[in-house]
Amino acid sequence: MAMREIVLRCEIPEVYSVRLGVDSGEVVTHATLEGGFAARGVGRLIAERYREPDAAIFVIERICGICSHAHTTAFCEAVERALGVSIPSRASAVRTLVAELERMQSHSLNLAEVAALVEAAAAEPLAWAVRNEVTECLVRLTDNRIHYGMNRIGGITRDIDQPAVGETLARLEPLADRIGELDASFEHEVRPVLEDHGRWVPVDAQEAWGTGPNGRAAGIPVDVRVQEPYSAYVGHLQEPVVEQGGCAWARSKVRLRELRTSLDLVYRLLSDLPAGTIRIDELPAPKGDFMGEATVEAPRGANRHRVRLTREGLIKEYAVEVPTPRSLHGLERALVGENRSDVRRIVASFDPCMSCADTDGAQ
Amino acid sequence: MEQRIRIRHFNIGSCNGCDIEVLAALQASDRLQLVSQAERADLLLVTGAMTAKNAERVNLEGVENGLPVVLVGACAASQGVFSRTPESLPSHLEPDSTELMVAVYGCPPSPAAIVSAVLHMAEREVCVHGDA
Repeated sequence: MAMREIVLRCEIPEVYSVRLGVDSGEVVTHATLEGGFAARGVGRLIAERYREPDAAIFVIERICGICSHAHTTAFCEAVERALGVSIPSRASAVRTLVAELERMQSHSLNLAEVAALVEAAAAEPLAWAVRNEVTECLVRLTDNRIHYGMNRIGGITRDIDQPAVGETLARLEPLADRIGELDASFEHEVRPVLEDHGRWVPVDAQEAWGTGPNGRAAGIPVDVRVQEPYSAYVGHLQEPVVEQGGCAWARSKVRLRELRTSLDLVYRLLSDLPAGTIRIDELPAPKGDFMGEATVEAPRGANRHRVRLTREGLIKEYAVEVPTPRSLHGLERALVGENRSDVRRIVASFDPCMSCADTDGAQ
Repeated sequence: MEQRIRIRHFNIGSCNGCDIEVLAALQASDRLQLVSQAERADLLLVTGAMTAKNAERVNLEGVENGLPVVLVGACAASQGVFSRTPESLPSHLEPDSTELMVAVYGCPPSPAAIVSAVLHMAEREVCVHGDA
């Protein structure tokens, strides 16, 4: 059978491309995702120039413009563990609150992208509407739309005042209905196109570990928030959202359902914010070499940061393990046997983040 | 209806923050439209600091061709936090060096600022052509 190779470039062609082998019937025989173009050398930048942990946060936040808070949270928790401190409960609740709003804006952005690629006329604007509402909440609480600048070592940078809490709670009220409408439009417009396509089922929990919604869509309950709870997740999240089958639709379905669980969590945290201080004023002086490691559940899965501090409290070594690369082999396998015209949709259903994956250029 | 402005968006090494705000700008204004080929564009929009790997394949000097350029965000304007790293290279993009190039500063700038810069530059382009 005649075979040829084609290269599909992402909508913004500089971000990534997918090299495909297709047969004469336009069916994909093999696929490779090519990235690495956004490699900015964050690890080296920090080790060489931003060695003070509070200064490093500014760069770490810019590993990714979608899940920036997940990166600074993992980094702060890693440093705090290295110093042996735990942050005030109010700071912990705010960290978690911002993390869940971030998850909602990330998931709704992905749902908008998927909807656009299946030409879902009702679902796409609904997903944007949900995202815009969530972004407004983030602006009210953090004064920022993208890089929230809320984390610092030992707590958070600034407090959330009561009027902001009240206004955000009022804004969240109608969001449940909006998510309901989004859900219904996805069932109607997206499900028939995506169901049974782009299947990836990890062989076991080890392969699925850290793959976030992509692993959970294949029936594997991998979620750091549940299995190794940190910040204010302890006692708050009982079980991960799981779907069966591992097809592109199941991945969107997990994200749709997680919009609700995140909304619930945000609502609960905001309604019952612990009083008190927002950070530890005096961090303990490090003695000797301190290692710290923390893993958080970013919108795309487990995000692990490791740090080693010097005697002076400066960063000596720093490493980041982001979630996207863990799903990339699955993504490539999921494309085999699919029609070439479905490739972009299936790629989008995995929600790959090349900015995170290219943090240091290694994949 | 007013004519749409066709934008070729180059992400030359961004964290995605500016790119999302560009998407939000496209949502906010129906006059903006993305195209994938510079030859069909009215305006070029750049996000991110030029990475070594993109420098091998993206030649912005080759595509400018008299088109207005909008540099979105601190990285596109001055490499931002990624300046002076071996992975990020200075590009030839100098904000305000010519009438045709403007920077929207911010990390990231708001969608409203992006829309207004694009409209401003696209209209300026119309004036340039009108004068000729």
